[in-house]
Amino acid sequence: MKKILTVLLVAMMATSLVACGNKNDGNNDNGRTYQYTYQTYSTALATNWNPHTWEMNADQTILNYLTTPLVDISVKDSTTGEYQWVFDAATDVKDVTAEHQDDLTKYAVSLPAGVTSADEVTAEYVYEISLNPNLTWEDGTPINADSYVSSMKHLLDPSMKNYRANNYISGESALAGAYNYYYSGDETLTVTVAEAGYESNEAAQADGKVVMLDMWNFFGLEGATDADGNECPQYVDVTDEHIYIDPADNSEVSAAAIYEAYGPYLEVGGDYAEYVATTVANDAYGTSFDTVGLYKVDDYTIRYVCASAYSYYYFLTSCTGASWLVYEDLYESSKDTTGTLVTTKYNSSLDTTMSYGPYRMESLQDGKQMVLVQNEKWYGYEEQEDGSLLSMTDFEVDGESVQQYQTEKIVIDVMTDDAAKQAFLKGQLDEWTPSAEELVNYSTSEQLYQVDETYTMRFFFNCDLDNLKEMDASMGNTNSVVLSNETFRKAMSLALDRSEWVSSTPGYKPAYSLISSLYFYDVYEDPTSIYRNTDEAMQAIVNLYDVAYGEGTPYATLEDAYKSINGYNLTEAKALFTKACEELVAAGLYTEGADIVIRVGYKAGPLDSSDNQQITLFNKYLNAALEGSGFGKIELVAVDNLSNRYASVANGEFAMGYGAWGGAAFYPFTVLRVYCDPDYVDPIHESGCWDPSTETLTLTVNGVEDTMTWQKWSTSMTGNGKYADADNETKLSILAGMEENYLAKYYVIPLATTTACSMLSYKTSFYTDNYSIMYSFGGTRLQTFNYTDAEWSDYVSSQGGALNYE
Amino acid sequence: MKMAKYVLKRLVLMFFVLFVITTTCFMLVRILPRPIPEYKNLQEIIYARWDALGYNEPLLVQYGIYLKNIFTSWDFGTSWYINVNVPAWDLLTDRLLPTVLVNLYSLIISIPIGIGLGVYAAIKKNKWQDTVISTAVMIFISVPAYVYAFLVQYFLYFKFNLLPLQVYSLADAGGSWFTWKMFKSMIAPVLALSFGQIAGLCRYTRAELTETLTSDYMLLARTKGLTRSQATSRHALKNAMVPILPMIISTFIGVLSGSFVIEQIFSIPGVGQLYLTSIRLFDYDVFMMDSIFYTFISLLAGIAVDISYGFIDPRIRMGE
Repeated sequence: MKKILTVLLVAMMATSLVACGNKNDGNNDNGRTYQYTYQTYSTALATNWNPHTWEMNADQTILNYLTTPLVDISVKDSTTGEYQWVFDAATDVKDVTAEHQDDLTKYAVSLPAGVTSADEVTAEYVYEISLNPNLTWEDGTPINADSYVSSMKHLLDPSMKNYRANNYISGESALAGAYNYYYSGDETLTVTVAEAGYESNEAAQADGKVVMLDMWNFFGLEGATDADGNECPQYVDVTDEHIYIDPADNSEVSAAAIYEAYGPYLEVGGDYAEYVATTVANDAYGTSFDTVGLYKVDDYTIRYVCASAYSYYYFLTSCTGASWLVYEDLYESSKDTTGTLVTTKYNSSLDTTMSYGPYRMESLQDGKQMVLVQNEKWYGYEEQEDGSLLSMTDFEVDGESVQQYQTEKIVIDVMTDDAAKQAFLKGQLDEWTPSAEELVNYSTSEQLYQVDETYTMRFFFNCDLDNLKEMDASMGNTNSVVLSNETFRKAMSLALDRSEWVSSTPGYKPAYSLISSLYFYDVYEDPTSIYRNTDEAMQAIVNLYDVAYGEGTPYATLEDAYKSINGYNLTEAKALFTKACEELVAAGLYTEGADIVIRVGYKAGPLDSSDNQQITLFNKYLNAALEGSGFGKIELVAVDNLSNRYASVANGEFAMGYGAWGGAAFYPFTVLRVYCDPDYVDPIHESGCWDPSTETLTLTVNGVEDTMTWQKWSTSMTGNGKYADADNETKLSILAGMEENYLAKYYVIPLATTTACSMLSYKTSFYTDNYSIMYSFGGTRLQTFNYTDAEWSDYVSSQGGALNYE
Repeated sequence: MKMAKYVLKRLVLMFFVLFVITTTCFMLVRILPRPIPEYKNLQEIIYARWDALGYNEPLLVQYGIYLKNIFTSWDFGTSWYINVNVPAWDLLTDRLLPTVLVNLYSLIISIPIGIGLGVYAAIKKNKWQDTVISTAVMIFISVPAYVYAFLVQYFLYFKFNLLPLQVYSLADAGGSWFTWKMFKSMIAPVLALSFGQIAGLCRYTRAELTETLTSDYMLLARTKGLTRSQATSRHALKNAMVPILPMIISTFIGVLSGSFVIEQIFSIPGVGQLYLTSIRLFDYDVFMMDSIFYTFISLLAGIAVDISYGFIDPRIRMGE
């Protein structure tokens, strides 16, 4: 026994010696004493805060500490919610389009609809950004116009394929020439046959072009292999008879067979023409960075030329958050090549991180802890006699200059939510996000901060009859074909008592519409311009739920009628279910009295008790409405741990899904793109129900009927769309018309909007308790401390070592 | 010579099994659908990156390149998510120490206590002491380690404030894994891991020793005049150790593989946590590196155990 123990100890000592020589860079103390430490946590630490490649929210959080945005939004009057633009890394941003119309031609921008000459354009294209000359990197190196221009060149480097280039090569804030430069390393481009200029697939083939089928997106064959284990490429020649095994059902398929089966749909102009492609020479091959519309004017001035019209305030908004700026020397020296891809380790470890924000990284232990401290070189700080750094706002908040960035040190520990709760209650964490179950205990706490989010949770469907039959036959559903019936889906919507549902599942508010009340159509000119409160938006929902108002009705005004809607009408739901049953029986799709089982693609992670409670309530509501309708019992079965339930519904693996869309709160006129524009989102979640690129919608715009595909309507109010320059009233009527008509299809059933909840310790306070979508609660910039670290420790001890936040 | 032949044969078989498992893991992980952003412009960028990284090559070609890199340059690939552009091998070796330490401390506690309790229970067979120990052993074996982890956290941290909630970071512990502060923070996970190990060793030792204590040679030893404790320590315990020692050896090698769940709960930045993160983030090469590592350790433990029988008990011969 002694010998064994000896061996163990020797092994341990040997390991220790090895480890001692490999000491980690855990503590990089610079001798400063910090009084105001903000302790926070994350279940997974950020791994990549490179502004060119970050992907996760945790990465973005770190980036926000380490960078100074060109422009920020902060509190002006906390009682009224008034906001103000704050210039940080920029000192001014001006629209100089009128003075630099030649840039529009030089950088080949896309002119507004109906405009043929750059001379006619006087605004919304060229922006001049004056840079803050005091801004430096944490090592003291100055930041100037060259820094911004060269950083953009790195971001768009064709050999790097940087993930965040997407913000500059496409979308509303796209930089002129950026797309071409980004893809200038590719000799050929893959485009649809129509885009290649051919009238038919046959014509393209006759011209010697290889016509290819998108096997991944058209037939879901990503990951499929042939008999030798070779992976199915995304694009395969439509004449290729090579066999691949479809992982969905193990059937054997080839591009030629698929093309033959779906030939007419895949023709130019067909429903699925977008999935047939060919290659063309890339005219932009070898393009230089000189063609990109970002250039230096003088040492501290740059100009940004937009690819298409982009109004001033939206441009300012795009300048908030971390910019594309990188520290060139470190970026270059951290480069590496893998395959044909050039990558960089920049901003992914302590050694490769460089800050130009109010905080710098002091220590990092992968998978464990990150510590950020005030950046002594940040232009806004003034060193005090005691060595601390003080910064006052150079703008007035509630009528006075206030201290900003009081937090001296930020410690981010990796821990589970359960551990975080214990640490929070022991005063060792300053924030904690309670789960839905735990929220009940803290719902009245003064330290609970609730923020309504733009996300609208919804049921979305695949109501394609063939898909539903297949799911009934082999994917665990029973009689899910009922979902092909629009009346049935409408009855489902009216059967759900959303008000009761949200009271049983904390963190939600009932939703009866697609677009929540957090969308502002003119927020910069009118901070109260909530889309949902407009007559057009209210009328759309009143029409949808068929509520009458005016004389002889219970509701005097449109607003009264709108406010009466709660989405729940059991009587009508029962009547509609009865009607749906008759229709389905008559169509031979359903046998009266038969039970219905529908698997719902519910969640990416595992179901928790709150989810189970939700689905139980859904089943209760639906069965209550189905009683006596001719239908048997219905059971919705929630399925969890799905990597992409949205695509699974679209691809016919589930008849129903549960999920949300949100974002773009300041410009609701593009919101419907996520439902209608397959060039924007792929696949459209409801694409099993319809093809918005071919289905048309007729709306009356300013008294004139206009018909376009849903896809075109969804892009008509942005960029160079047909109604991009229309006034807000016109845009509101279009958006409301689209919302009403889309909801009336019942491809989606809105259920609830989400609310983010978090607890803040007594140690610290947000600047204001009144949430604003423009500046939240004031952010880290204006956060204050009620206790120093030492005082807080004493306070926690005086409370017996555990705090009560209930 | 026969032993050498046997060992060689086992090693060849081990590498064959390692190859099969590695191949299977590689193929399976590569054919899993990779997460794709929903926005089309991001999809295009992701597809372009995958293409540049060779993910669109036939699977066998990808695997061939992977093996070639391992054999020619000891290159197990690169992490693209957990630690951008860092070799997977470096990532694994960096995370090995905390895993080994926690598990080693746990073993150091478990072996003497487990064997001691087992010996005591065997000597006190069918008496109240044996009943108490055996009941406790059944409970501790039945309950998974993560339950102890939560209990330890709740009582020793939250209720009585005796131990830290989690293993300290290097920065908080003074910059080394070998400070008293760091050791103290490891006590909680060590305890959570040890309960099950102590119970396992105790049960095994008791069973083996009970059988040995009733053998004929023990009767002979007692009739020769040895006291009960002399006979137990000199004869019974030695023989009972034949199956117990290999178990300890396999556990000792197995400490390298650590505990996934305990590392998550106590935020230990070890290989278990790395493995789970690599699966969550689809960090292919890190996943493969970890899979190879775990497979290799398991296979090696098996061989070590089999060979150890021959050294511990000369009567046992290999390869015959």
